[in-house]
Amino acid sequence: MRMHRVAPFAASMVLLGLLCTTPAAQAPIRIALPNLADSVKFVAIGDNGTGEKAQYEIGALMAQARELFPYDFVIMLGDNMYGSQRPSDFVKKFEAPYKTLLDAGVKFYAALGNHDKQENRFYKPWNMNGERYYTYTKKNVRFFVLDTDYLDRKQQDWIENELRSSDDEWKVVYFHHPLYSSGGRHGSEVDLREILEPLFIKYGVNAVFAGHDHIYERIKPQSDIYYFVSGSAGQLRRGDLKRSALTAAGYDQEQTFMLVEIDTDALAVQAIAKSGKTVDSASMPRQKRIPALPPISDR
Amino acid sequence: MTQRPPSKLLANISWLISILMACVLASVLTAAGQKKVNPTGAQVKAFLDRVNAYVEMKQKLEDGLTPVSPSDRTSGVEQHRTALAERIRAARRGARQGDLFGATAALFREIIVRDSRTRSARDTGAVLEEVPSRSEPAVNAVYPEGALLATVPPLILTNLPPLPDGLEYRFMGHALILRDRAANLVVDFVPGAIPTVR
Repeated sequence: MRMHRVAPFAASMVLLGLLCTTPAAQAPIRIALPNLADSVKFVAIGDNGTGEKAQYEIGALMAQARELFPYDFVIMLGDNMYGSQRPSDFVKKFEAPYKTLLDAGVKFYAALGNHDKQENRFYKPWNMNGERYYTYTKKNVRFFVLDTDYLDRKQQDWIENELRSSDDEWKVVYFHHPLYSSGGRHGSEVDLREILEPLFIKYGVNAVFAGHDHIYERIKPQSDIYYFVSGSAGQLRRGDLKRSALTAAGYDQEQTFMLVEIDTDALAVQAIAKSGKTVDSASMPRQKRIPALPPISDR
Repeated sequence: MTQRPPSKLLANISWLISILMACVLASVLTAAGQKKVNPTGAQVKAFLDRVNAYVEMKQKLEDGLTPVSPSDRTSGVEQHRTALAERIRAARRGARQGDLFGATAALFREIIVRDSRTRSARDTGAVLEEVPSRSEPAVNAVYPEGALLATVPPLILTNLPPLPDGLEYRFMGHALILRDRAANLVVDFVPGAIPTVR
């Protein structure tokens, strides 16, 4: 795998960033996941690209976690970059905070958020290959990445076709706007839900990750699908989690990121806060479902 | 008094009948040739024809520009955007509001107003929250740098005529705009399409 090269001045920036931002009272990370040899392991971050201290701290923790939980890719749930998005900002708001991971060959797969410039899909380290929505596979898991900032009919047709033609053991979809969220600022995106949820049910989606609300929340399974909001890997809206009937677990007092592990039978998640403490962990079985029938026109 | 021979009279009558039948046949054929059209469908088709003509023109203007491809730096994308925008502006000098939307503007307004009736004031407020409100759209103007590309509710998008690649609907102030993605330009807009939240 090609090692990612970071501009020389970025290296000094990251050093400066880390020196200035290493928190004094950070608990050592403990992995609460099965950590199996052949499982699919990854990190989920959302709303991260601030270029501020907290983003660097989370980046350092992600690197620390990887020493114990050897994941090789990160999914980015949108708002990967805030404010100015000139070439130099890609250093400050992405390459420097995650330098250790990039140097180690960890891949990032981004979804676009409402703060991201659409042309950032051409930024190679985000592995979008110039597309607003795309799909890729890791072992027995297929990932579907959507641009919920502009979900037109063409994209709806695309996701339906991709989901229908996938017989992968696990189907994971991620995008920026959450179908379910107890965030006070935004909450559940009902429009999106009306369009996407029937497809997710029909084609056996197992798990959905989103950001947008700057909190962490694990949603109680909805129609047998696991939903997560992980929108505080840089931004934080402290106190914005309005616990509701949807909430299985949540946290809104510090920035967080998620470790995720998928093997044949289960999906396990662990949310880690900026202080290093684990704020949630859970294991969920793979859903037992009857395969969806093909549409009448295809029979 | 002289009488016309009956054969000549019959010939005249049959001549008249032939003319009458020809007239009837002609009018029937003319009516059949005039296809009745659905006025809304015709408006939307005309709009999409204009949109496609724009896309065709843009494709020609892109000739000679370095195509955008994934890269470690996004400066190439910026250069492409700037150069393309300059060419489009030059080619569309004199373009006016309504050139593409034309008579469909009323239809677009109607679709959005109908959608807003299904939403609570809070929901509509949330939709409009991130819409750039300080800038007035203008044809050939750059979509404001740094402004959010406010999410267009997917249920509205589903009801609007689908656009070819490279063009998208967005909200700006109270207008619905047609935005060229690669050039970041306002191609046309429908003023007053977004209802005021009370």
